[in-house]
Amino acid sequence: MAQPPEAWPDGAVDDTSAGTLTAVQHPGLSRRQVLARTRLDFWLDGCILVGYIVAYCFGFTGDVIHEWLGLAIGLVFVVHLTLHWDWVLRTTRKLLRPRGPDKLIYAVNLALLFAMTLCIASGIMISRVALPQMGFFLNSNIFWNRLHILTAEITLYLVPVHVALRWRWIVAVGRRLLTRAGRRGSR
Amino acid sequence: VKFGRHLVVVALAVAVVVVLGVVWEHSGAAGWITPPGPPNGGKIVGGPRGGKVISMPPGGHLPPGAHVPPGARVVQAHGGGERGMWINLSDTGNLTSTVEVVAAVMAGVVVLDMGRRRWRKARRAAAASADPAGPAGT
Repeated sequence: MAQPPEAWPDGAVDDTSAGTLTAVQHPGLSRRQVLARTRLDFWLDGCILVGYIVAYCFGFTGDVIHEWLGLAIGLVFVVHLTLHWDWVLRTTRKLLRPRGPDKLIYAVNLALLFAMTLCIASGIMISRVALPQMGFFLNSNIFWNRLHILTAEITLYLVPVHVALRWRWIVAVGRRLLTRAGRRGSR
Repeated sequence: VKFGRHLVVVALAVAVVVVLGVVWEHSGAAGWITPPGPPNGGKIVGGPRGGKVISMPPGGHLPPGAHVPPGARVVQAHGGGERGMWINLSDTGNLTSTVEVVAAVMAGVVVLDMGRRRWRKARRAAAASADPAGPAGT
């Protein structure tokens, strides 16, 4: 069974993308930095999930919030990818092994990379509010409009799969963060 | 330094995907997602959200010195239509149905994952009880 993060040695971080609490050695990181990184991953990923759900409902948000929120999600998406790039490299190397782990997660993540990137790029191409307000005018056509709708639909189904494949990590870290916050609140 | 290096690689990966999208737009495969042209052989130019119309929120204006491309119109949208500029609180059904879809997909994946883990555990336990010396020898 996996150890709780408190019991990990210095420099170990939880492999957030694997869906399990697996300690991975990261020399040079103190336990405090590891915990800060876990907290950052948890809240950043939560923000992307909530942000995407809200941005998807453009009938509710209206064009202005839909477009600016979409641009913000694009930036946070790049940060999220950057923070997990180690996992991408590690898993890519293991893909050829017959019993290599995370093949399903890798496939979902790759599909999500394509869908979300094209969704944000096509959203930028067809922007009517945010980009013109910044002084940019792109010559879009119906292809980008259709691509935006299609990739948004695909992303809507891939995002919950991507999140749910890590439910054990989310439950473990969420329980720890919330109990700690509760303990601090009761003092 | 490591974050910066990874950021550059991620930016390149994102750029590759965007370039693939542009290649798709200019290839014959673009027809997979765009509707067929009119039967008289004409072309569909622009779309409902094409670059020909620039919508500004109520009271909004273009930045000074902004260049409006030839043929483009700047319109002030006032909401009230099917799709407004600002939050439409009467359309919360849109939000709740999306949350329901996301929650249902998540629940399905979690149930499948739990079932798979239980099945693997049971299979491992059965294998261990059938051959108690097996794992020790490996």
